[in-house]
Amino acid sequence: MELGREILEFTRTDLARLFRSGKALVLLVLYGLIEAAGGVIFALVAKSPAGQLMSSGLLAIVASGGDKAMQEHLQQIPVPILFAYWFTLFVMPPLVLLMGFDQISGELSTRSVRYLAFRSRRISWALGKALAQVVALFGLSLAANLVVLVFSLATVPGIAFASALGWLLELWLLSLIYGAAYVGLVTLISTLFRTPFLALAAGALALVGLGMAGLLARWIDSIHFVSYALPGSYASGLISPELSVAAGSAAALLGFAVVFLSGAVGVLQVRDL
Amino acid sequence: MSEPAISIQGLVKRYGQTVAVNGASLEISAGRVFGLIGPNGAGKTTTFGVLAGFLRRDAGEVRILGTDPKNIHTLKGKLGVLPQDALLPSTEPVGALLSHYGRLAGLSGAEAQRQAREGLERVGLQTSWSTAAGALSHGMARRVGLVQAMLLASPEVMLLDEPTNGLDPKSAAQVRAFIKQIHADGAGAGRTVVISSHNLTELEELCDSAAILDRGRVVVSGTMSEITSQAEEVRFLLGDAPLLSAIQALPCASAASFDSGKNLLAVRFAKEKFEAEAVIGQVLRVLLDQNVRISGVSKGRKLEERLLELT
Repeated sequence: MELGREILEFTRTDLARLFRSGKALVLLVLYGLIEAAGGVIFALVAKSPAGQLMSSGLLAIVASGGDKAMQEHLQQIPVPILFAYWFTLFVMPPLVLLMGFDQISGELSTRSVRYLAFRSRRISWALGKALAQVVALFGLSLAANLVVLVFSLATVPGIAFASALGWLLELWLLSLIYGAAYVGLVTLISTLFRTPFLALAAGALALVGLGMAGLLARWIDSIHFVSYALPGSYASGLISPELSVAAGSAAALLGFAVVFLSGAVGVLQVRDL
Repeated sequence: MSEPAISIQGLVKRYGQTVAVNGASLEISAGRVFGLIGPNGAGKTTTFGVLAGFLRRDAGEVRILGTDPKNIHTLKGKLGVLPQDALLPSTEPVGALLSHYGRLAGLSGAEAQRQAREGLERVGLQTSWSTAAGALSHGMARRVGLVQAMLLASPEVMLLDEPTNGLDPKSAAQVRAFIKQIHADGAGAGRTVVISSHNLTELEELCDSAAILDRGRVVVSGTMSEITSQAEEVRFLLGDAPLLSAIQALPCASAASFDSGKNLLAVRFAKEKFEAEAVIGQVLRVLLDQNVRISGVSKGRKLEERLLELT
C-alpha cells in the first residue's frame, strides 16, 4: 500500500514535470500531429486509386510475417485507424527514448535524486517515473487516435462508429503493451548512466542494434531464433486473429517490460546515487 | 545504556581501486550536534553519503536510529538530509517541490503544503513559492535545502553537509542561528544534528562533539572539549619567554612547555582536580610576577591546530 502510494506520488510529480518541460511537450505534440495528419490523409484519399495503393502497402507492412487469415483480419480495420496503429508502433521506440533517456540519468547527473533517497524506496522512484512515461505517451496517443477516428467517420463512407471506436481502442491498448517494453528498456538504460548524453547514445545504439538484429534474424534462417529475444518481433503477433498468438505476443512484450524494469530496479538498488 | 542515534563500525567504502573510507568507526549519542571534520579526501562526504543512504558501503555496520541505511526509507519523516552538491530540480516551483518532499515524508497533501509554507517563511523565502528552483540564487537554494532537511515532518536526526557553503557572512550567521534553534526545538536533549564542514570556526560554534577523519579513518572522536583539550590544557600567548621552572612548580601544573618560535606557553593540568579557570589564574599570577607581557589566553587548542596535529 505504502509502495503504491509512493509510486503514484512520483508518477504525479513526474507527469507535471514532464509537461512543464518544453522538450517533452514538443515531442509529444509533434508525434500527435504527425499521427493525426497521417490518419487524416489516409481518410481523405481512402477511395482514390492512390489511396487504394497506399492501403495495400500499409496492409502488407502491418501484416508482414502473417498469413492470409491475418490479411483478411486487417482488412476489417478502417485504414486510417490501421495507419494510426502502425505509426504508433513505428515511432514508439525512438519517442520513448527521446522522452525518457534523462528521466533517471538526469537526476543522477544533478544529484537531485539525493533529496529523495532518504524519503522513499528506490524501486518506487524508478517505477513511478516509468509509469509517468506510460501515462503521458498513451494519453497523447489516445488523443491523436481519437482525432483520426473523427476524421475517418467524417470522410470515409461506410465506417460504423461503434466498430471503428472498438478497433481504435483495441489497437491503442495493443500499442500500449508494445510501448511498455520500450519504456522498460529506456528506464533500464537511464539507470546505467550518470550522464544523460551517454544514456541517449546508448539508447540509440540499443534501438539500432535491436532493429538490425531483427532484420538479420528475418533474412538468415540459422539465426532466426534471435528474433524471440527482440521486442519488435512480437508487434505483428499482437494483432493476429488467433487469440493464442495475440496473447502470446502480449505476454512476451509484457515479459520484456518486467525484465527491463526489474533490471532498472536492480541497478538502482546497488548503485551509488 | 541507550542506543546511540548513529553508529558506524568498521565502515569501508571504495571507488574502484581508491579506498575512500577505511574502517571508520564512531558513535553519536542522541541530542548531540556532531561535527565531521577532516582535510579534503579524509572521507567526510563519503561517510555522510553512506549515512544518508546515497552511497552503498563495501563493508562494516552502519545504523541510524537502529536502522540500516540500506532501508533508509523506513526512517522517512525521522531523518532530514541536506546534501552538499545536489541541485534542486530546475523546472520545479519551490512550493510544489517542498510539498512533494513532504508527501514523501509521510505528510498528507494539505499538511505538506502548510509545513512547506511555514518553512519558507522561517527562512525568509515566502515570496518564492511559485519560483522555479532553477531560478533561485545559490544562497536561496541553500535555504530551500535547509527547509526540506529540517522543517518537514520534524526529523529526529539531521545530516547537514556544508550547510553554509557559498553563503555570504550574514546569511551564514542566520543559518547557524537557525541550526541552533532547530536543535534546541527537539524534545529532551534536542535533535541530533551531524554537520560535515570545512569551516572549523563554524563547527566550534555549533558542535558539542566531533570526529576528525583522515585518510578514511577516525583519528579522534569525542566532545569538543576533549578534542581541543579544553579541560586539561591552558595556553598563553606571550611577549617574552617565561621562567618555566616557576610555572612547573605550581601544584596545579602537571606539565608546562614553551614554544619559543610561537611564543606559546602550554600548561597541562589534571582535569579531575582543577578547573581551567583556576589554573589560568595561578599561571597568570606567576607570569605577572615575572613581568612577562601577555597577549592572549585560551583554554585548550584551536580546532584547527588539533586538525593540523592529527592529519
